[in-house]
Parts: sequence; C-alpha cells; structure tokens
Amino acid sequence: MRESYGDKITRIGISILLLLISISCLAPVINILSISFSGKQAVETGKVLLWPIDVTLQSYSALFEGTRVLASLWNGVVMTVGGVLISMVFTICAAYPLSKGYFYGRRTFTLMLLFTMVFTGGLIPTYLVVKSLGLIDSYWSIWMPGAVSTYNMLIMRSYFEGIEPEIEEAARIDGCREMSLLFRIVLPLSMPVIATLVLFYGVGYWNNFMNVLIYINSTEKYTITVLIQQMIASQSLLTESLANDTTALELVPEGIKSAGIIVLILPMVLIYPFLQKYFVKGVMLGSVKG
Amino acid sequence: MLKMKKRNVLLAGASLTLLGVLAACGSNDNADNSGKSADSDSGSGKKSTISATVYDRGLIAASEGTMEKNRWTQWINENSPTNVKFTAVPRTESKQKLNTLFASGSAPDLIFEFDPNIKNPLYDQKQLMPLDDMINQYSTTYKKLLEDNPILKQAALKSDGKMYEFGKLNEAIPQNVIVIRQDWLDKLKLTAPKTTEELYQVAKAFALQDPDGNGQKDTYGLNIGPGITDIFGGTGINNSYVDENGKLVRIWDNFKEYITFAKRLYDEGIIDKDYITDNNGAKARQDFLNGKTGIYFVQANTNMWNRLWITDYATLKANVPEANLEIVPNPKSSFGQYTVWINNPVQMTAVVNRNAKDPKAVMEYIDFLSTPETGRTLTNGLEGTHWQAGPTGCPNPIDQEKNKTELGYLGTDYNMIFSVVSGGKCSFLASSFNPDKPDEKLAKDKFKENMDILYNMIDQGAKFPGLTHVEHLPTVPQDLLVDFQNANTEIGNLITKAIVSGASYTPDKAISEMQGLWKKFNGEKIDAFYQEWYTANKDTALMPDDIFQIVKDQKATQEEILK
Repeated sequence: MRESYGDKITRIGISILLLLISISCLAPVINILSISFSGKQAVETGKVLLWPIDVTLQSYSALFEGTRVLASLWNGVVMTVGGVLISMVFTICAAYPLSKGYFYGRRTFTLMLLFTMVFTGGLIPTYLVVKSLGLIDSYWSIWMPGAVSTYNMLIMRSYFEGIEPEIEEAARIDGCREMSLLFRIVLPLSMPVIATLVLFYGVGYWNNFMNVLIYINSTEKYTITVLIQQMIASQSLLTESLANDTTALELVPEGIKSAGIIVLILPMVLIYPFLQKYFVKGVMLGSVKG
Repeated sequence: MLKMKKRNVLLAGASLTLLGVLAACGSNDNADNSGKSADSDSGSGKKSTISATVYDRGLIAASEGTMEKNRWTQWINENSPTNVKFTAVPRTESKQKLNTLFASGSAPDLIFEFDPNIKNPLYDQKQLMPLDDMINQYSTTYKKLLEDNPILKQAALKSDGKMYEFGKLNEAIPQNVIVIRQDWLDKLKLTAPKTTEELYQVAKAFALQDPDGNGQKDTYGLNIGPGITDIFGGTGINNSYVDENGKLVRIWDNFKEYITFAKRLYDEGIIDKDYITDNNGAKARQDFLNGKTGIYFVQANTNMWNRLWITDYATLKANVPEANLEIVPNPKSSFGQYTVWINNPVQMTAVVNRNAKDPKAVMEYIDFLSTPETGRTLTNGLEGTHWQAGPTGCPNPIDQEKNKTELGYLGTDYNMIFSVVSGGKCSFLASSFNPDKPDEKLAKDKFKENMDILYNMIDQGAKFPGLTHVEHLPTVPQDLLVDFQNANTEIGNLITKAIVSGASYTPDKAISEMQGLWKKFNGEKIDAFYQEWYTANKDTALMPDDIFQIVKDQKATQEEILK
C-alpha cells in the first residue's frame, strides 16, 4: 500500500518533532559528557557546550585516584545483580501461583499483597524492623524488604494469565509436572516480561540512594550512587551552610563531578539496548497451531 | 537440545552468582563481627572505646581507605587516651542519618555536627547528656579553655542552665568580600562606591559604558552574590529584628531597600537576568573570570580567600591582562553602615549521646583533641612527612601533591573541637601565606587590608547585619517549625518575584504581601517566641557586641601575623 502524500508529510512531521524532543533530552547529558572530557580552565569559564574543549582525561584520572569510585562501582554492581536475582526469583514465585485460577486462596493472597501497596510503615518503624532482624550494615537490608515490588509482581501475574491455557493442557497431556511446566514452558514464553522486570528492578537497585544511606553504616559498602550524589549535593549545600561550615566546602571541581555522573549512568545506559530487543520481539510464535 | 543446554547453563550461572553473592555477604558480616569483637577485646584491656561520628564528604581516595579507617583514625587511636570507633555520616544527609540512628537507639556516643537545627531538637527530645559534671570531674585541657574563654561556656548553655555542647573558637573574620575592577574605574574615571546609591551608579556605568572596550553591551555591573543583602542589614527572616528598649521589633525596611535596589538593577539590564537559576554562584563566577563583571560579591573565608586572590585572579588576568582588583568596603545604606557578615567565632560542634556508657572516656578524647599538638597534626599532618617549620615558624607543606591525597580529606572533620586560640598564630589563616611567593604575598596584603576595613568599621560604630549570628539563634519549636520554614521559602520566592516582575510589581506591594504572608504563617507567634528567647537570653547568648569584642581580642594576633 503506497503511502499517500499527506501521510508522508505527517510522518515526517512527527519524526521531526520526536527528534527535537529527543535532542532536548539528550543535550544536558552530552553537555556533561563534554565537560568530563574538557580541561579545567575551559570548564570553569563555562565555555564547554556540546563539544569538549582541551580534550583531557584528567577529570577521570582525578576521579579514579582521588575517590572511592571503583570500589563503590563494584558495590553497586554486587547490590544490583544480587538484588535483581533475588527479586526475580521471588517475584516469579509469587506471580505464577497467583496466575492460576485453581490456586486455593488466590483472592486472599492477592488482597494481602495489594494491601502492602496502599500502606507503608514509614522510615523509622521500617528501620526498627530491619534492625531487629540484624540486617543493618549488610546488603540484605536492601534486598529483603525490596525483594518483591507488588507492582512488578502484578505485571508479571497479568502476563502469566495471558498465556493461553491450551499450552499448559498440551504439556500436561505429554506428562509435564508443575516445576517443568514453570521452567520449560512458561518462563521461556515470558522473556519479554522477565526482561522488563529485570530492567525495572535493576534500575531501581542501581539508583537506590536513601535506603543505602540509612541502612548501610560502613562507608566501604556504599554504592556509587551514594558517592556521586554526595559530590553533587555538596555543591548545593554550599549556599545553605555558608553560615555553618567554616571549612568552606571543598568544592568538587565541575570536571570531576561530571566524570562521576558519566560513570554512574554508564552501566545502565549500556544494558538498556541489550534488553530492548526483548520488548520488541514477538512472542509465542507458532505455539498453538490451528 | 541446544536450547535446553543453554537454559541449564543460564540456570547454573544464575545460581552460582546467587551463591557467590550470599557467600560474599556472609563473609562481610563475619568480618564485621570479628572486627567488632577484636576491638572490644583490645578495649577492655587498656583503653576504653567510644564511638563517634565523622562527616563523610565522599572525597577520600581509595588508597587512603575510608573515613572510618585511614591513617588519621589510626594516628588518633594510637595517640589518644581513648580508642575511637568512627561512624561515617554523609555530610549532606546528616539530619536523616542522625535522626534514624537516634530513633533506633544506635547512635554513637559522641556526635560531631555543625547545624544547630539538628542538635537543638535532640536537646528538646532529651537525647543529650549534660556536660557540666564530666567536664568538672574528668577534664583538664578543655576545662582550662572554658575558664580562659567564658564565652565558650556561655554558648554551650541550654534553657535548663546546663552545658550541652562542646565547641571551638574560630577566627572572627569577614565571611564575604566585595571586589571591584579598578581598571574599569580608572577607564571610566569613577571612584569606588561608598553608598548604595553610588553602588548603583557605578554598576550602571559598568554595564552601559562598555568598560571592556569591545563595542558590545556585554558587561554586568555586579552579581547577586553572597553578602549583597548584608549591605542593607540582611534579609534573613529570623534575623530581621532590632532591639528597642528590650523589645524586638521586626523590620521590613531592609527588605524594601534591597528589593528596590535589585529591581532597578534588573530592570535596567545591569545584572545578569539569569541570576535566579544560578544556584551556587557558578555562572556569576564564570562571568567574573571571563572579565564580564565589574563588581563581584563572593565568599571569602578560609580557603575561599586563596581561591579568589591566587587561583581566580590568575585566571582573570589570563583572560584580561589589564585586570586590577581592589576591595570595596560595604557601602553605606540609608539606614546606616553595616559590616560584612562575620564568621561564627564561637562555634558549637559536638554533643554527647545521653546513653553514652563512658563519659570519662569521651571527656578524655575531647581533651586530647583540644591540645595544640593534636590540633596541629589533624590540620597540617605529621612533621617531617607533610610539613616542616617555615620562615614564620609556622608549618609549610613539603609536597603539595602528596598532601592533597593524604591530607585532602582531613578538612576539619576530625578536628572539630580545636580552637584557634589553642593553636596560637599558626592556626590563623593569614599564617598560611608564604610571603616569598608574589601571589601569596598579594593575598596576604589584601587580607590585611580587609581586616583593617573591618576594624575601622567597628570602631566607627557600624552595625552587624542581623540580630545576631544565625547559629546562635534558637530553633523554632516543633509546632511552629513548618510554618516558619514555609514562610522562609515563600518570602524568599516573593523577593525574587518582586525583583524580576517589572514595573507593575512595586516594592511597596511586595512588602505588604510579605507582611501578609508572615501573618498567614503564624508570624506573630514566631515573633513572640523570639521575643521570649531574647528577653531570657540576651545577656548570655552571643550578640553582635560579643562578636565585635572577639574581633578586637584577636586583632593583636592578626596584626602580628600580617605585618
């Protein structure tokens, strides 16, 4: 079907609009990227816009030598990978039974889980609970309470419900047991939702700032998010605490801050494209014929 | 077949990772536990152990360790009569972290914290231990410091008459400075402004008469920066009172003057119209360094003085070789002459947890921190390794690069109890300038000039820009706190709105709206609170007269260093 002239114009118009919006979102990031590669003088006098001036790696070398970036980067990776694995296991274990109509007490359990979406205990009571479990200063204090996000679990449950029961029946006729059904039939068909949730949980754990700050005491366990946030936040603190802190805050140079930001977002930016194809890929090709 | 293998491999990999992560965490906990027991073992043997907080600013190199375990914590534990276990508290989130620690009963014994708005609620909630007994019974060095400097004791008293805070005496120096492009003044044949009206005229000339000679109207008269509101008596909402026979009267005129002044500058294009979005002064600094700003308001205490006169002046001269900077004393406003804002000379920095088990050990640690040797080490490093005695007898750094890594994170975070009077002249900022280097000599000369301006102003009866230093004002009680904060924010927004909204929004209108807002947010009750505090405390709390007195007390030392 040939595209009419009007359709073509509309399509190009929409593409241009979307392109402009994307550029306006990307521009600050490109600016930070350029600053991180630019020389000190150029950065301080504000000459760096979209292209680095006096290209140099000194911001990065100062960042890696002068701060605990590498250690905290590793911590961030450990926390994210561990967290995602734990979360996925528990979310699947919660969503799968709830998606089966013949599960006894299905409604009760669903309501119980929904209830947790409505209320939360607040910071101090939650802290006291976590403390009483002895989880303070360990990553489990972030993994355990955060293991299942009810919202994500419901997404997965809906997806499982959407898998046609004929597949399950066909498998059972062939002698498939429950565990095999989960691992060999349902999960491979659920790659899109698994990829989506891996991404949601991954980004959630990677960006987790407040919880790490409150529950983790030893600074060697801090993740990169906390470290970089400290550098950036100390800049705004300067204006407030002019009266308080007589050691005029060691201003973190713009270059190092920008390098820190790039290091912080890089892992997520790198992973996104790989998981993208799972969203787009079609599913259940030829699973039930006829 | 292949698919199954792939899935099995994936599963195996996933479970391995999970196990690995579990193992890692397990070992972490074990390491922590064994670490803790080792500490308590060594503690019960000879020295007791206390726990203390330390700020974490995220600026420590990985090779040095963490804020809890590095060469300086090691030095402290080797040389102090007490073992100290440090808990890092993020500098920018200290309120949240401390509140959580206290609420769960796991707060350390000794808390180092600058912000009175974090410490005062702790006192109200009865979480702090009074210090009088432990000082009387166990202290030597700090006790003597209190006897020699009774102001330190006064500032530590709370409403029940007992001391609750340890503190330090700082240099009472100007917090901000105004510098002007003398070369522009010479070119346009003007003189430095002495009144706010002259300030406006000079700024206008700088903006409109093309002093940089490039034929474009691209220069700014001045920047809206730190210290500009102090010229008009300050625009702090909790500080805008004047004492009339013991009664605190709220003044709005200073707001009106400032708004009128800034509004004229904004409407006539004399200042950068984007100054509102310039959060931390970065753009203002850029404009100044690029030679575009004629009068620059900037923070100037401690190492900011160096930054201005050594680093920034060099950058400015690189961009504009003929640039020549001079200091401008605060111009006189229509209400009189105000000094610049002065550093808090008596700063309270530490409190003790009510549940601290060993007050004697805490006191011994404080005494240790107050001795000159400790203060010097925790500021300059170790003799022979990081510094050696220079021509003035004060420490000169040996290797700047090495010092940057090994001392950079030291700041004053481990040293928050050390008073400059204990350290003598070598603890004063002016001693750190090396007169053999021309740029440092300039910084030193300018510092002397700035101090002389301050002394003159005080002698001629200039006023302090505010009721007193904000760190010595009480914290608004819990029931009024939200209103107070809202009032603060909204009045701040109103000031900005009044400046940028053009001719239709007059300063008078802004003031009446401001008064309306103040009333709406229970302003009368807040005023009553401050009045009550003032009546009860005006003779004991640190007031501008006390601040000026400290400036004069330190004058002899400063002049000796600066001659």
